[in-house]
Parts: sequence; C-alpha cells; structure tokens
Amino acid sequence: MLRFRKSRSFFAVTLLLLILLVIVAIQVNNREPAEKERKHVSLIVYGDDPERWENLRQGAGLVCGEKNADLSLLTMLSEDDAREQKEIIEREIEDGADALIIAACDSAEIIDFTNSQNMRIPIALVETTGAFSSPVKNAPVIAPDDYKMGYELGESLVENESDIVTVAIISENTLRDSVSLREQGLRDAIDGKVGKIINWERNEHEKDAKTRMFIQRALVSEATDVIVTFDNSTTDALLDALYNLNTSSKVYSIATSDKAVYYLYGKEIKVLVYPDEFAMGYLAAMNVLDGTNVLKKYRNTGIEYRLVTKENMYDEDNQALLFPFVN
Amino acid sequence: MKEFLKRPVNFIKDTYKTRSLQWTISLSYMAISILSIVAMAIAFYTHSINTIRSNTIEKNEQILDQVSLNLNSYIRNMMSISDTMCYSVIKNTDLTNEKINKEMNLLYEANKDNLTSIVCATQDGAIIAASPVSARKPGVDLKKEKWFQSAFDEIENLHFSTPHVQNIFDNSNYRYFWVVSLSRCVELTNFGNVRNGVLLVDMNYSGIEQMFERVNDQGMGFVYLCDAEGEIIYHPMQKAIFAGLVKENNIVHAGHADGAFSEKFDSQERDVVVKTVGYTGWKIISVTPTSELAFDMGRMRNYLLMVAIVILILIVVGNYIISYVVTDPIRKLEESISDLEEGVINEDVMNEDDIFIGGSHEIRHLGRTIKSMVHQMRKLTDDMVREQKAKRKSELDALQSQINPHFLYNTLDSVVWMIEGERYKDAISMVTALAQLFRISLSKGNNIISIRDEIVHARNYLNIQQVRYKNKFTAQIDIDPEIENCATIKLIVQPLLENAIYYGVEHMDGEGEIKLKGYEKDGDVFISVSDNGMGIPEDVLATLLTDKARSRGKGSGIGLWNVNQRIQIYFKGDYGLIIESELDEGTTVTIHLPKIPIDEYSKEDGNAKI
Repeated sequence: MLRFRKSRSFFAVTLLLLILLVIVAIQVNNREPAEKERKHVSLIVYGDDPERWENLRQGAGLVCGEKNADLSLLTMLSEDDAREQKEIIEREIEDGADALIIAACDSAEIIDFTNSQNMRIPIALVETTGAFSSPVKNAPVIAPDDYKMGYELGESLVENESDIVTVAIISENTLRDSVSLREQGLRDAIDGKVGKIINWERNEHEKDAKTRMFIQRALVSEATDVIVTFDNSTTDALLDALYNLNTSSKVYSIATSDKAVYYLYGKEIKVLVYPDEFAMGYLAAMNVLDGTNVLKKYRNTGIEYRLVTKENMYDEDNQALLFPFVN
Repeated sequence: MKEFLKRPVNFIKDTYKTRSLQWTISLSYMAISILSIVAMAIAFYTHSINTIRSNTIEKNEQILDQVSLNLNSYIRNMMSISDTMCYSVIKNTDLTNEKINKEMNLLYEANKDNLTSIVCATQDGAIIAASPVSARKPGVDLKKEKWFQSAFDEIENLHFSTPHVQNIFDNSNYRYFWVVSLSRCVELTNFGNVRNGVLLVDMNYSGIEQMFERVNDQGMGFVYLCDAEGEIIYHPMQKAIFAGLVKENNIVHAGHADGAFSEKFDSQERDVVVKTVGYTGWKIISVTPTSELAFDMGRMRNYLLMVAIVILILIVVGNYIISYVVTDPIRKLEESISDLEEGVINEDVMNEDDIFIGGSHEIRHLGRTIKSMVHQMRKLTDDMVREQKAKRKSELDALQSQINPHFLYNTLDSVVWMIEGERYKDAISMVTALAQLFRISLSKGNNIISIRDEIVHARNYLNIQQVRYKNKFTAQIDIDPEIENCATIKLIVQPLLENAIYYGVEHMDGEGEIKLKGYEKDGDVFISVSDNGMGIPEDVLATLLTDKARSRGKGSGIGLWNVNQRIQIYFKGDYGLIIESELDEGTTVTIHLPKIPIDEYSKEDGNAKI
C-alpha cells in the first residue's frame, strides 16, 4: 500500500512537471516572433484636398507606425456630401478596415449613421461631433474646444479693431458642428462690440456654386472691414477670391491650411486660430489602436490651439505647429 | 519571529523523523536539486539578461559611432562650404566693385542637395548676396533672428542653430523649409574698409532627418539628436513631443557625458547611450526601453524554465529509481525484522532463512549479521525451552515420587493393621485393590490419564480404605459421563480422598460421608471431594496450599500442596485446588481442570509424556 502511494506520488509529480513543460513549450511557441497581423486604419475625411489633412495624417501615422498598422487617408469629392462619406465608411468596413478615424462632413448624418451601424471595429471621431444632435455611441470625439476657439478669435477681433468696424461672417459648412460652434463662439464674443455684423450666405442661385464664386459676389456686393471664416475650405476660397479681385481685407480665420499660413505672413490674415490637428490624429489613432483610456482627457475639448499672428508665427512653439515636417 | 519560525522548523524535523528513509532521501535530494537549479537558473538568467543588455548597448554604441561619423561628415561639409565662402571668396573680395554671387551660386549648386540657401548679410541686416536668388520676404529683420545674433556672440566660432523654418525668402506655392542654420561672423571689405557681416549657410533639415530615420528603421529603441543644452534637433516623436503628447528626458541626457547608463523615465526603464558630435557639441542619444528587450528576456526565461523542468523531471525519475534501489533492500530487511518482532518466527511461520539479504554490500552484510544473530537467538531460545521442559519434568517426577511412597505407606499401614486384626480376606481384597491401583498408577508411564481412569483409581482406593476402616464412612461417587474422557493428571483425586478419610471421617463411627463428584462448569472440569468431618480451622486452611503446608511434614497437608503444584505446573493459569471448609460441617476440596479431551491432549507432542 505504501509503495503504491509512493508510486502514485511519483507519477503525479512527473505528470505535473510534464504538463508544465508542455504549457511552457506552447507559450514559447506562441511567443516566437511570428509576423504580427498588420492592422489597417482608415482615416476618412471630408473635402478633396489630402494636403489639408497633412497634420492629422502625420499624427495618426506616427501612432500607426509604432503599432504596426497601415493608415489610409480617404478624401471625398466634395466638402459636405454625407451620402458619399457614408458610402466610403461602408466600403472601408466591407474591405476589412480594423479601425476608422472619421472627420464628419455632416455631424448629425454621420452620427446617426455610425450609431445605427452597430459597428464592431473601433471608431474615433475628430473635430467636434454631436454638439447639436444625438450623442455619439461608443466612439471618442477628439477635438479642440471649438466654441472657445471662436470666442477667442472674436475677442482678438474686438481687441484689434475699432468698435465701428463692419464684420462679415461667412457661414459655410455649418452642417459640421465644429464650424457651428466656432461661429457661435465668435458671435457671442463680438456681439455688441463691433459696428455691424453681416452674414455672408449663399443665396438661392448660389447653392451649387463654388464657395469662391459666392464669396467673390459677396465681396463685390457688400463692403466690409473684416471677414471671418471658420474652416479651411472657406478660408482658402476667401483668400482666392481676394486674390482674384485684387483686393484686400482683414481676415480673421480658424484654419490649418498651408495657404492660410502663407497669407498670415502676407498680411491678408490678421489672426489665425490654428488647432493642433497633429495631436488630434495622434490621439485618435491611439484610441482606435490601443483603446487606452489615458487619453480621455483629450476627448471633446482637450486639443490645443493657438492664436497666431504674423508677428508670432515663427516663434519656436508656433512654427512647430504651423509648419509640419515634410520630407 | 523566532517563535514564528520555530513551528515550521519543528514540523519539518518531526516529519523527517517519522517518514521513511526513501521519503527522506527523495525529498532531501529533490529539495537540494530544486534549490540548485533555481539558483543556477537565476544566475544564468541574470547573466543572460545582462549580456543581452550589454550587447544591445554595444550595438547602439556602434550605431551611434556610425551616425556620428555621418553627421560629422555632413557638418564638416557644411563647415567647409562656410569656410570656402569665408576665406576664399568674401575675404578676398572688395564688395565695392566685385560681387560674390557667382562663387556663392557655384557652391550652392555643388551642394544643393544638402543646402537650402547661402546668405551673406551686413551687420545691419542688409543682404549682400544670396543663393538661390529669391525675393526677400517683406518686413523680415535679420537682426532679430537667433542665428544672426549668435554669429556676433563669439565671432571666431561657427554657430549651429536648432531646426527652424527659414523665413527670409518668399516662396511660391506656400512652400517652407525646415533648416539648421550655420552662421558665422565674416569680414566684409568696402572701399578698403573692413566691416563685420554674417555668413549664413542653411542646411536642409531633411538631410539630418533622413539620416536619423534610416538609423531608427533598424534595431531596437530609437536615436535622437539634441544640442548641448538639450534642445531637440531631431527626434522620431518630435512633433508629439512639441505637442506635449510624449515626453523626453532630453535636458538630462544633454548633461550626461558620453557613455551608457540606465534610467527610469516616465515609468519606463531605459538604457541610454550618449555620444557627443565633435565641433557642434550636439549629442546623439540612443534610447532603448527595457521593455523592447522583454521579448528576448521572455524567450530566455521560458527557455530556462523549460530546461529547468526537463532537469527536474530527470531528477524526479532518477531520484525515484536511486532512492528505490538504495532503500528497497533496507525496507525489505526492516519488514523481515518487523515480522520477527511480531513473533512470527516464534510460531515457526518464519525462520532466519526468511530474513532478507540483498542490495548493496553494506545492506547484505547487515542482513547476514541479523540472520546470524536470529539464528543464535533461536538456538538459545530452543535451548532454554528444552531446559525449561526438562526442569519441569524433573520437578514433576520429584513430586510424583513424593506421592507414591506416601500412599504406599498409608495403604501398607492399613494392610498391616488388617493382618494384625486377622482380617485376612480384607487384607487380600486390599492388596488386590492396591495391585489394581498401582497398575493404573503406572499408566504406561503417562502422567496424563482420563478422568475415567482416575475415578477407577479413586474407587479402588476408597474400597481399600473402607475395608481398612470397617465401613466407618460411606462414599458416594457421582461423575458426569461428559467429563469422563477429559484429561487429568493422574493420582490427584486419591490424595484428596485420603485427606478426607484421615482428617474428616476417621473418627465418626459410621456416620462419615465422603462424596466424590465430577462435573463441568463454565467450560472447565471440576472434581470435588467432600466430607462431613469436623472441618479445618481457618488458620490451617489459609496455609494448606502454601509452602508452609509442605514444611509441616507428614499428614499435615503435603498431599494437597503436592496436587495443587502439579496441576499448576501442567495447566498453569487459574487451575488448581479450591478448599472450602467449615468447622463441624465438613470440608470440600475441588480440583479445577481445563476441559481437554484426552485424545486431543495425547496429540500434543511433547506434553503427553512429561
């Protein structure tokens, strides 16, 4: 009996060690440097100018490079065609994208769409989305405080200009919550503090016209001292219009385009509010690839922005923001 | 603490004491083996990890050497452009009549892959010459530029800036260039007068960037470049650092002398190698997070774990076999000794040949020694048993020899008494009965006879005594037939009858009664002899079966003592005589015997003819 017990203990110990050996061997095998599956992240943005998104792409690209993922930048044919953007989102999901970063061209439409899709891949939304519509489900929104940006732009306008100045506000692309918030912030800041506020909006005949054309018409038809824009395409269109008409005006803008930066030095743009789209891209990619919660602090209103003028645009801090490294 | 340790230590001690030899050897061997393996594995793992780390550091140092070489070459190239412009062109030119644009353009064209622009300006910030020729941005004041100011800080030196966007010239298509400016103070000659000016060589930052990107694409960790104050010139996460998304310990690194060290930064263990770039004082820094070595470390750990487990399996199996081989003979020997202890050997189930002899030389020797010892013990025991039996027999014989003359004396005394009384018929009858009595007494030399024979013998004796005492007493014999075939020692009833006659009914003139009764009770046999004589005083009764009775001499109870001794020698235990007596009432002496059939008793070798 005793011998049987001893043998039983011996075999139990040996069996235990063998099981341990197998487990370790399996673990070793699993840890072998197998080619990690490369993830694919789709960066779906509005507009047809990929260079406009260079900062955002660089930020997301830095994370993707570190996380062994590929990044595709997908632009649209227009600025605000929600149907097209939804098609792109659907197509990317069907094509097996592992994560989506979306800059919505129409906040409400895209939110409804993403909320209804019950998506199984991580999504991050850049630029303010969901401020005026149903909240976004299961997706972080990484954006600066657009209202505050607009408000601070308005404050600088009030500070720099006289109180009798006429301010033209170009309301374009207001389907994007970010633009609406910026405009709202600016209006709140300048309301009652400037001479006159005029709204430049498309009339019925100009609905399908290019933005530049509509602005040119407005420039010719209505005199103003200051013009305010809230997004890249409108700012670029305004600058083109001013150039075409060989006229000048004081422009206060929220934009990130190279053209806006160029014209900042050329005096057409007096104050430029420049959000850090690099950080937006970086954090959005971190969210979809890492799922980390440490980035929560950047959600919604955390992204940095700067009020840049000709005088301070080459400051060390500002130039790193305004001029992305391009090889 | 001491008390806390005492319990487990005692527990281990007790466990060791109570466990088997194989268990003790196995556990001790295994514990020592495991400790050795763990110690060895830790030492090996530590050594391997250190080797991996030192190899990584060594590799990084080699990479840094290579980068440093390339960067030095790049910088020297830029410096040589600056030197050429300074010493071969500007210094030899009187700017009053001559231009330096041609030479400047030649130099620019020859190096335009690495250059963004070359500019020569007066100390007032007026541009004298520039290549490539571009429109100067309106409103740019060169005197406010850092590179311009630093050129006049130490006029003998060349000054390298940190990367910045070049903002002197207007550029179409909204292009901009990140550059590293190399500026120096130069002497400008105008109308023979020498004034200070500034020569600027803007190095294309992308040249440096690409150089480092190529390095960072290979190997572990990353390499970055900062100036002597820790201002980052290149970092793979540069924009993220500027945006405050990522942190770098660049200020601390810049303060370090060349060499390798480890640090903990931002909750991360890192190995850092620093190398200073010649003239500029820039620092090339290689950073390898220890976590990136984790894969190699993990592999090493798992490998060691596997080796340790394989060795453990071998140890467990080997341990089992070795401890079995060593302890099994001891165990078998111990088992055979245990059997001996249990007395099995005494019952002849086992003898010394059953003692295990096997295993190693020492254990075989031990087995043989024990076997020899057991053999000796057995021999001694046999001798002792034999001696005991002989002693008992001689003692019984001695007792027997005491009874026969005693009885013969009494009987012959009766015969003499009859002859003297001319009762010849009675004498003849008595002598005949005596002859019969002696025939039974002989019993073919057996001391153990059946109760039936013993009763016949008793009856003869009573017959003799009734003749002798002229029927002064009556005798009744009542023997249970169930016990007639049981064994008894011969001639134990007759002394009791004799005592009953002599001391009980001898003087009762026909009223004496003697009853001989045999029966079974509680599985034992009882034979009682009762008389209605005057009884035995208590003090006498108390000494009847003791040695005092023996020493009292003739007719004073020696017969009873004798019978009692014989029964106890034969049957031991509680067997023997029971005497009950009351004065003027009578005496009953009962023989208590075990119930053993005579046939069965006869079969027991060695007991039948003691």
